[in-house]
Amino acid sequence: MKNLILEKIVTLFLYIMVGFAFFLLFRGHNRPGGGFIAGIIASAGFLLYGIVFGSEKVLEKLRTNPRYIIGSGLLISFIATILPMMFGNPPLTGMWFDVAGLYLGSPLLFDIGVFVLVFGVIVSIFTNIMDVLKWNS
Amino acid sequence: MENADLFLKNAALIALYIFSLSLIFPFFRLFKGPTLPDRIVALDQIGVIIIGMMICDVLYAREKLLLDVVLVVAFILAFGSMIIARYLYKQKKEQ
Repeated sequence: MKNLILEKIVTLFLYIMVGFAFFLLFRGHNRPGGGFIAGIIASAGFLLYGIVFGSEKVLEKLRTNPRYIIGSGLLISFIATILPMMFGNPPLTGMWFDVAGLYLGSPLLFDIGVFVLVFGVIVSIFTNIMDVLKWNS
Repeated sequence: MENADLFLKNAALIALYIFSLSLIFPFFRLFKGPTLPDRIVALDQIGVIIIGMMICDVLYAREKLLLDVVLVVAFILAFGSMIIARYLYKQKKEQ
């Protein structure tokens, strides 16, 4: 069954959700927000997209296997963990750098890793469930 | 200025009471509802009333951060009921 209005609105909604997730991701650590919530909101956008279009379209949109997304999230968090050890600090110490006027730190890198990890886990779970239950429209 | 602030706070508080009273009717329909579409419409109505209560709380407590929660809940609520309705339609056509 094709529904033109639902398809167009869900495509628009996907971009709004991912943009809002990035907003929450960069607002985290000082105010409400952070990697976990941003990952859940971005994957909710992809979940609605998958319910309307089917799980193959979600995998086409991501252009990669969700397993690689999980692995890259773990790698980014690992880099944020061992980065302070190279400067002689204990692991997971917060380090802050002044990059082109922006005050960025290693907690932001850790949050980005958590975001990518949670996003990959939820997308892989729901695409597998939709494949097993044959929920593809 | 302070007078207007007090008026807004009291209006938000009264609206909050009325919203919480009006939450009874959709819950009644949710538990009694003879068919599945009745229950889905009742759930949607509960969500809309809760969004209204959150906005009243934003006005009362001056906490702007809850507006983000309102945004996400409204999006997911609208699309959730739309998609459940789509599956009900599909199920009815298959029978």
